[in-house]
Amino acid sequence: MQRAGFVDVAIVARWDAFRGTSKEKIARKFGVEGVSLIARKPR
Amino acid sequence: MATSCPIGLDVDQLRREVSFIYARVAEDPNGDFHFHRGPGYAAELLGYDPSELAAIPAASSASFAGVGNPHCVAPIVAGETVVDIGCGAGTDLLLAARKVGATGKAIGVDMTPAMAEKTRGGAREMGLSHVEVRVGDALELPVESGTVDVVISNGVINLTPDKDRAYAEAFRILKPGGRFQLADIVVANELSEKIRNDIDLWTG
Repeated sequence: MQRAGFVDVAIVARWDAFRGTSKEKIARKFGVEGVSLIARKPR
Repeated sequence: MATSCPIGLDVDQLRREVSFIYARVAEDPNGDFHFHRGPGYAAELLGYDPSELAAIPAASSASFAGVGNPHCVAPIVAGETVVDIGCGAGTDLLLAARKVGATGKAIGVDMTPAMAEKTRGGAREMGLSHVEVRVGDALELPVESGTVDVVISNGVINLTPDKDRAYAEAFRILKPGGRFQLADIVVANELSEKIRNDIDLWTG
Protein backbone atom coordinates (compact mmCIF):
# COMPACT_ATOMS: atom_id res chain seq x y z
CA MET A 1 0.00 0.00 0.00
CA GLN A 2 2.89 2.33 0.69
CA ARG A 3 4.26 1.57 -2.79
CA ALA A 4 0.96 2.80 -4.16
CA GLY A 5 1.44 6.09 -2.31
CA PHE A 6 -0.74 5.54 0.74
CA VAL A 7 0.37 6.99 4.07
CA ASP A 8 -0.71 6.46 7.68
CA VAL A 9 -1.31 2.76 6.98
CA ALA A 10 -2.56 1.18 10.19
CA ILE A 11 -4.01 -2.21 11.07
CA VAL A 12 -6.92 -1.61 13.42
CA ALA A 13 -8.06 -5.20 14.03
CA ARG A 14 -7.00 -8.82 13.48
CA TRP A 15 -9.04 -12.03 13.81
CA ASP A 16 -9.28 -15.69 12.78
CA ALA A 17 -11.35 -15.30 9.61
CA PHE A 18 -11.78 -19.03 8.93
CA ARG A 19 -12.61 -20.19 12.46
CA GLY A 20 -15.50 -22.64 12.30
CA THR A 21 -15.26 -23.18 8.53
CA SER A 22 -14.17 -26.25 6.58
CA LYS A 23 -10.91 -24.43 5.78
CA GLU A 24 -9.95 -23.62 9.36
CA LYS A 25 -7.07 -26.10 9.48
CA ILE A 26 -5.45 -25.15 6.18
CA ALA A 27 -5.89 -21.45 6.94
CA ARG A 28 -4.04 -21.90 10.21
CA LYS A 29 -1.32 -23.87 8.42
CA PHE A 30 -0.66 -20.95 6.07
CA GLY A 31 -0.98 -18.29 8.76
CA VAL A 32 -4.10 -16.75 7.26
CA GLU A 33 -5.81 -14.06 9.32
CA GLY A 34 -8.35 -11.36 8.77
CA VAL A 35 -7.29 -7.75 9.17
CA SER A 36 -8.99 -4.39 9.03
CA LEU A 37 -6.86 -1.46 8.10
CA ILE A 38 -7.00 2.19 7.15
CA ALA A 39 -4.75 4.12 4.83
CA ARG A 40 -4.84 7.66 3.48
CA LYS A 41 -3.98 9.39 0.23
CA PRO A 42 -1.76 12.37 1.04
CA ARG A 43 -3.26 15.81 0.64
CA MET B 1 6.66 -10.99 0.32
CA ALA B 2 5.08 -11.65 -3.08
CA THR B 3 2.09 -9.43 -3.90
CA SER B 4 1.48 -10.69 -7.41
CA CYS B 5 0.65 -14.11 -8.77
CA PRO B 6 3.29 -16.35 -10.36
CA ILE B 7 3.93 -15.65 -14.02
CA GLY B 8 2.51 -19.04 -15.03
CA LEU B 9 -0.81 -18.64 -13.21
CA ASP B 10 -3.81 -18.66 -15.54
CA VAL B 11 -5.31 -15.34 -14.50
CA ASP B 12 -8.37 -15.82 -16.72
CA GLN B 13 -9.08 -19.14 -15.02
CA LEU B 14 -8.71 -17.46 -11.64
CA ARG B 15 -11.23 -14.80 -12.67
CA ARG B 16 -13.64 -17.50 -13.91
CA GLU B 17 -13.33 -19.49 -10.68
CA VAL B 18 -13.90 -16.41 -8.52
CA SER B 19 -16.87 -15.34 -10.65
CA PHE B 20 -18.33 -18.84 -10.54
CA ILE B 21 -18.10 -19.16 -6.77
CA TYR B 22 -19.56 -15.74 -6.03
CA ALA B 23 -22.30 -16.13 -8.64
CA ARG B 24 -23.28 -19.25 -6.70
CA VAL B 25 -23.26 -17.25 -3.46
CA ALA B 26 -25.60 -14.73 -5.10
CA GLU B 27 -27.96 -17.39 -6.43
CA ASP B 28 -27.84 -19.88 -3.55
CA PRO B 29 -26.41 -18.29 -0.38
CA ASN B 30 -27.43 -21.35 1.65
CA GLY B 31 -25.32 -23.63 -0.53
CA ASP B 32 -22.16 -25.42 0.52
CA PHE B 33 -19.24 -22.96 0.81
CA HIS B 34 -16.00 -22.92 2.76
CA PHE B 35 -16.60 -19.45 4.19
CA HIS B 36 -19.14 -17.83 6.51
CA ARG B 37 -22.07 -15.93 5.01
CA GLY B 38 -25.15 -13.99 5.91
CA PRO B 39 -26.37 -11.34 8.35
CA GLY B 40 -26.12 -13.55 11.43
CA TYR B 41 -22.43 -14.10 10.77
CA ALA B 42 -21.92 -10.39 10.08
CA ALA B 43 -23.51 -9.40 13.39
CA GLU B 44 -22.17 -12.17 15.62
CA LEU B 45 -18.61 -12.48 14.35
CA LEU B 46 -17.82 -9.22 12.56
CA GLY B 47 -19.47 -6.60 14.75
CA TYR B 48 -22.09 -5.31 12.32
CA ASP B 49 -25.00 -3.51 13.96
CA PRO B 50 -28.01 -5.88 13.78
CA SER B 51 -30.45 -2.99 13.51
CA GLU B 52 -28.54 -1.59 10.52
CA LEU B 53 -28.41 -5.02 8.89
CA ALA B 54 -32.17 -5.43 9.39
CA ALA B 55 -32.69 -2.48 7.03
CA ILE B 56 -30.84 -4.26 4.23
CA PRO B 57 -33.04 -6.45 1.97
CA ALA B 58 -32.65 -10.13 2.78
CA ALA B 59 -31.74 -10.89 -0.85
CA SER B 60 -28.60 -8.80 -0.35
CA SER B 61 -27.66 -9.61 3.23
CA ALA B 62 -28.19 -13.36 2.81
CA SER B 63 -25.33 -13.36 0.27
CA PHE B 64 -22.97 -11.30 2.45
CA ALA B 65 -19.59 -13.05 2.26
CA GLY B 66 -17.22 -10.46 3.67
CA VAL B 67 -14.30 -11.35 5.90
CA GLY B 68 -14.35 -8.27 8.12
CA ASN B 69 -16.08 -4.97 8.76
CA PRO B 70 -14.77 -1.88 6.92
CA HIS B 71 -17.43 0.23 8.67
CA CYS B 72 -15.64 -0.29 11.99
CA VAL B 73 -12.41 1.23 10.67
CA ALA B 74 -13.59 4.85 10.54
CA PRO B 75 -16.96 6.64 10.27
CA ILE B 76 -18.50 7.18 6.86
CA VAL B 77 -20.38 10.45 6.95
CA ALA B 78 -23.11 12.30 5.12
CA GLY B 79 -22.20 13.80 1.79
CA GLU B 80 -19.22 11.57 1.10
CA THR B 81 -18.66 9.64 -2.11
CA VAL B 82 -17.91 6.01 -1.32
CA VAL B 83 -16.74 3.25 -3.65
CA ASP B 84 -17.00 -0.39 -2.62
CA ILE B 85 -14.52 -2.53 -4.54
CA GLY B 86 -16.11 -5.96 -4.99
CA CYS B 87 -19.50 -4.91 -3.59
CA GLY B 88 -20.97 -8.40 -3.95
CA ALA B 89 -24.68 -8.52 -3.17
CA GLY B 90 -24.43 -5.08 -1.62
CA THR B 91 -24.51 -5.26 2.17
CA ASP B 92 -21.53 -2.97 2.75
CA LEU B 93 -22.45 -0.65 -0.10
CA LEU B 94 -26.07 -0.26 1.01
CA LEU B 95 -24.97 0.38 4.60
CA ALA B 96 -22.56 3.02 3.29
CA ALA B 97 -25.29 4.52 1.13
CA ARG B 98 -27.49 5.05 4.20
CA LYS B 99 -24.61 6.81 5.92
CA VAL B 100 -23.67 9.15 3.09
CA GLY B 101 -27.30 9.99 2.46
CA ALA B 102 -28.88 11.66 -0.53
CA THR B 103 -26.15 14.33 -0.65
CA GLY B 104 -23.52 11.64 -1.07
CA LYS B 105 -22.93 8.91 -3.56
CA ALA B 106 -22.33 5.18 -3.20
CA ILE B 107 -20.75 3.36 -6.11
CA GLY B 108 -20.32 -0.39 -6.14
CA VAL B 109 -17.96 -2.20 -8.48
CA ASP B 110 -18.21 -5.96 -8.97
CA MET B 111 -17.06 -8.29 -11.72
CA THR B 112 -19.94 -10.73 -11.14
CA PRO B 113 -23.08 -9.53 -13.00
CA ALA B 114 -25.36 -11.62 -10.75
CA MET B 115 -23.98 -9.85 -7.66
CA ALA B 116 -24.22 -6.43 -9.31
CA GLU B 117 -27.87 -7.06 -10.12
CA LYS B 118 -28.60 -8.15 -6.54
CA THR B 119 -27.11 -4.89 -5.26
CA ARG B 120 -29.15 -2.82 -7.75
CA GLY B 121 -32.27 -4.68 -6.63
CA GLY B 122 -31.45 -3.96 -2.99
CA ALA B 123 -30.93 -0.26 -3.70
CA ARG B 124 -34.28 -0.06 -5.52
CA GLU B 125 -36.06 -1.83 -2.69
CA MET B 126 -34.54 0.64 -0.20
CA GLY B 127 -35.36 3.63 -2.43
CA LEU B 128 -31.70 4.66 -2.59
CA SER B 129 -31.35 6.64 -5.81
CA HIS B 130 -27.77 7.69 -5.04
CA VAL B 131 -26.48 4.12 -5.40
CA GLU B 132 -24.85 3.05 -8.63
CA VAL B 133 -23.38 -0.35 -9.44
CA ARG B 134 -20.84 -0.81 -12.20
CA VAL B 135 -19.64 -4.18 -13.48
CA GLY B 136 -15.87 -4.00 -13.48
CA ASP B 137 -12.53 -5.19 -12.21
CA ALA B 138 -10.54 -4.17 -9.12
CA LEU B 139 -7.48 -3.90 -11.35
CA GLU B 140 -9.12 -1.40 -13.70
CA LEU B 141 -11.82 0.43 -11.76
CA PRO B 142 -14.54 2.08 -13.86
CA VAL B 143 -14.29 5.21 -11.70
CA GLU B 144 -12.83 8.60 -12.52
CA SER B 145 -9.56 9.58 -10.89
CA GLY B 146 -9.58 11.74 -7.77
CA THR B 147 -13.35 11.69 -7.24
CA VAL B 148 -13.84 9.50 -4.17
CA ASP B 149 -13.74 10.29 -0.44
CA VAL B 150 -13.71 6.72 0.85
CA VAL B 151 -12.86 3.38 -0.73
CA ILE B 152 -14.08 0.32 1.11
CA SER B 153 -13.48 -3.30 0.28
CA ASN B 154 -14.25 -6.49 2.13
CA GLY B 155 -12.54 -9.76 1.31
CA VAL B 156 -11.82 -8.91 -2.33
CA ILE B 157 -8.24 -7.71 -2.78
CA ASN B 158 -6.93 -11.11 -1.64
CA LEU B 159 -8.56 -12.63 -4.73
CA THR B 160 -6.83 -10.29 -7.19
CA PRO B 161 -3.76 -11.54 -9.06
CA ASP B 162 -1.93 -8.21 -8.66
CA LYS B 163 -2.28 -6.53 -5.27
CA ASP B 164 0.04 -3.66 -6.21
CA ARG B 165 -2.23 -2.75 -9.12
CA ALA B 166 -5.35 -3.08 -6.96
CA TYR B 167 -3.87 -0.67 -4.39
CA ALA B 168 -2.77 1.69 -7.18
CA GLU B 169 -6.32 1.77 -8.52
CA ALA B 170 -7.78 2.50 -5.09
CA PHE B 171 -5.20 5.29 -4.71
CA ARG B 172 -6.02 6.70 -8.14
CA ILE B 173 -9.71 7.14 -7.58
CA LEU B 174 -9.36 8.74 -4.13
CA LYS B 175 -9.34 12.50 -3.65
CA PRO B 176 -6.27 13.90 -1.89
CA GLY B 177 -6.85 13.19 1.80
CA GLY B 178 -9.26 10.36 1.00
CA ARG B 179 -9.13 7.11 2.90
CA PHE B 180 -9.08 3.41 2.13
CA GLN B 181 -10.94 1.28 4.67
CA LEU B 182 -10.06 -2.31 3.94
CA ALA B 183 -11.07 -5.60 5.50
CA ASP B 184 -9.36 -8.62 4.02
CA ILE B 185 -7.39 -11.76 4.68
CA VAL B 186 -3.62 -11.84 4.67
CA VAL B 187 -1.01 -14.56 5.09
CA ALA B 188 1.70 -14.28 7.71
CA ASN B 189 4.02 -16.73 5.96
CA GLU B 190 5.61 -16.44 2.52
CA LEU B 191 3.90 -18.95 0.26
CA SER B 192 5.84 -21.09 -2.20
CA GLU B 193 5.39 -20.53 -5.92
CA LYS B 194 3.76 -23.98 -6.15
CA ILE B 195 1.13 -22.97 -3.62
CA ARG B 196 0.58 -19.57 -5.28
CA ASN B 197 0.08 -21.41 -8.60
CA ASP B 198 -2.74 -23.56 -7.18
CA ILE B 199 -5.99 -21.81 -8.12
CA ASP B 200 -7.98 -24.13 -5.85
CA LEU B 201 -6.09 -22.66 -2.89
CA TRP B 202 -6.83 -19.10 -4.07
CA THR B 203 -10.56 -19.76 -4.15
CA GLY B 204 -10.78 -22.42 -1.47
